[in-house]
Amino acid sequence: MGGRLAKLPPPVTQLPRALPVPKAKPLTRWQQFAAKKGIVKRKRSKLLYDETTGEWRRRHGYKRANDDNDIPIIEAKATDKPGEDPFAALAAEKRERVKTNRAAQLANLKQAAKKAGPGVLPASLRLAATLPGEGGKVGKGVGKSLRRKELKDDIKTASRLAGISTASIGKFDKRLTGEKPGERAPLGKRRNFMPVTDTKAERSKAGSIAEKLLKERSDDILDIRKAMTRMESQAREERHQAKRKREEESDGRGGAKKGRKAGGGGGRGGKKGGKGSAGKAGSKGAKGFKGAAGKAGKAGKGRR
Amino acid sequence: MQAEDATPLVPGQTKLVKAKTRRGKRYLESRAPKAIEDAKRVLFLYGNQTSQVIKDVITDLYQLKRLEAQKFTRKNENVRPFEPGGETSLEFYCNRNNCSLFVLGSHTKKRPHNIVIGRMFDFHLYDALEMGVEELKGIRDFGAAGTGAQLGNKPCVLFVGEKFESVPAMALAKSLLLDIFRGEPVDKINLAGIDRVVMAVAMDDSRLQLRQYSVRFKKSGTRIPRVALTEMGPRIVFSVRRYRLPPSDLQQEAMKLPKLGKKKEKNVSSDSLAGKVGRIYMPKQSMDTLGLSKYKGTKRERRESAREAAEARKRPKAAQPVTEGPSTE
Repeated sequence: MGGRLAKLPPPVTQLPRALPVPKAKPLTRWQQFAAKKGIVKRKRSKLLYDETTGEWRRRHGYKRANDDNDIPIIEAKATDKPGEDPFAALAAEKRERVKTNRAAQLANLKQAAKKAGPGVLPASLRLAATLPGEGGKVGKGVGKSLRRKELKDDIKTASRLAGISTASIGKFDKRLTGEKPGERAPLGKRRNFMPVTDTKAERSKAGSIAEKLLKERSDDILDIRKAMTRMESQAREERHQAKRKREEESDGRGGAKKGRKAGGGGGRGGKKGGKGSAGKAGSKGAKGFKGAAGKAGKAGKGRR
Repeated sequence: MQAEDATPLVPGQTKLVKAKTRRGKRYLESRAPKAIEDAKRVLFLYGNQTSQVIKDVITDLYQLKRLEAQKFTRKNENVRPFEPGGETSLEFYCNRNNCSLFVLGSHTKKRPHNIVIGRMFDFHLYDALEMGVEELKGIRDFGAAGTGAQLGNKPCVLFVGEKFESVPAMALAKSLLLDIFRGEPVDKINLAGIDRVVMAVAMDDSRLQLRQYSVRFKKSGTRIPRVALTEMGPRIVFSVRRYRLPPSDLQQEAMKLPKLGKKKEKNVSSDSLAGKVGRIYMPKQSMDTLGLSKYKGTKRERRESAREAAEARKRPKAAQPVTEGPSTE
């Protein structure tokens, strides 16, 4: 496919970016030191002359020159102690160097993140804070101090359990030196048990439970006798009211009725001005004045 | 890359979390911020209810951006870019799919045939524009006019109407449409690869029309070809509804220009003695199959014409007696 390439001029309309501009990484500790001292980075040659084989080998990688793992013989020095393994010592030194190198790298990253925020870290790395007991590993994964604390708690719990596993729940045992008063006491509230031979208490307790249940469900439980008496009293009261009304209409009118009514109304009204119980008593009294005294109480109840 | 540090972790310490595979590392680096960014990917999705019109618009726009887009097929009811808490789902989807633009289609009684085009900065909602689709003529209705255009080519984008500068909603629409159709930022373009023109016309303060043409170059007498435009793509009339502009601090952050270092010219160095010195790397050549330069006389046509002339001379010579001296040829 042919076609000529045209060089485009720089853009005129500026569009917003999708991601923020990449930040410049702050210099690491070595880079700062090198900058101060004027140390320049030099490129290393790919090949290196290997003394043992007498040939040019690559510096890193497969069959590298001066490989530390391939040393067959290490000559003993005067300062060497018998029983020491020089190969193991070399390996241990290497491990130490790698460890310090990694720690230094991590320190550099943390310093960079602290200075300029997490955006300066390389995209494939991330710094995460570790929480105690992270990963669910108790043991190697967790710090030494945390392990010790957990062991101490375990020992304390065990000694307490041992102390209260006597017939008297450790109450009369001698306290050891250094032991604090509450350390060997049983944990939790003291439980009280009812005596086995007391039937009266048991019966009253069962009875109270039954009463409580019935009280809660009293709305649902229908006492037929009570309902019947209530309905009958209501009907009686209504009949009585109707009868009185007819008597009043047929009897004389005017002052007697009015006066009686006014008195009743005033009495009721005056008493209503007081408190609730006083008001109730007042109304009862007024009703008693109006109708039959004997039926007043019941009628009042029914009304209500 | 192998097992992490053997040093025991202490509470309060920081742990270094690395990518576990090289492929993972490369992927994370590809998603890291860069000085010059890649093409913005678009996320196409539907809201709570859709209509056939909206589905057609979304599918057509998706076809235009296929490789640089991701389309969700299901309806999402908690995606509401214009409500204060409604953008968290959207930000999560865009983050997961590495999309910095989104096109959300929905249809409600209050806002029929609704499209929200929006942008993300650092995968947080930056700005958004809501438009209603008034008229639509899909790609299919234009027949085979669009078959000439190839996916992945950058279109020419044209904005007609001074409303795109004066009205803020239209200016936002211009910016968003440019972002969608832009593709990869390049500094050189192959002229044969320009095969689409996207045109946006501002009809009035709140309506804009989108059209797409496919470009064909015809022969003209001069070196510059004659351009033939045929309408191919969706023809959509939008009416602008709500819009949401970015907060000013975020806008400042997003509009920052990166400091571009000068590109290192490879294989060129300067020497104090020779001045500017360049290096050329030659491929290996085998001497047997080397294509040497040919002499004019050894070319086939020349040999054949010479042979024919010689034969022509021989025949008349045979007819006539030899009277002349040596031939002049």
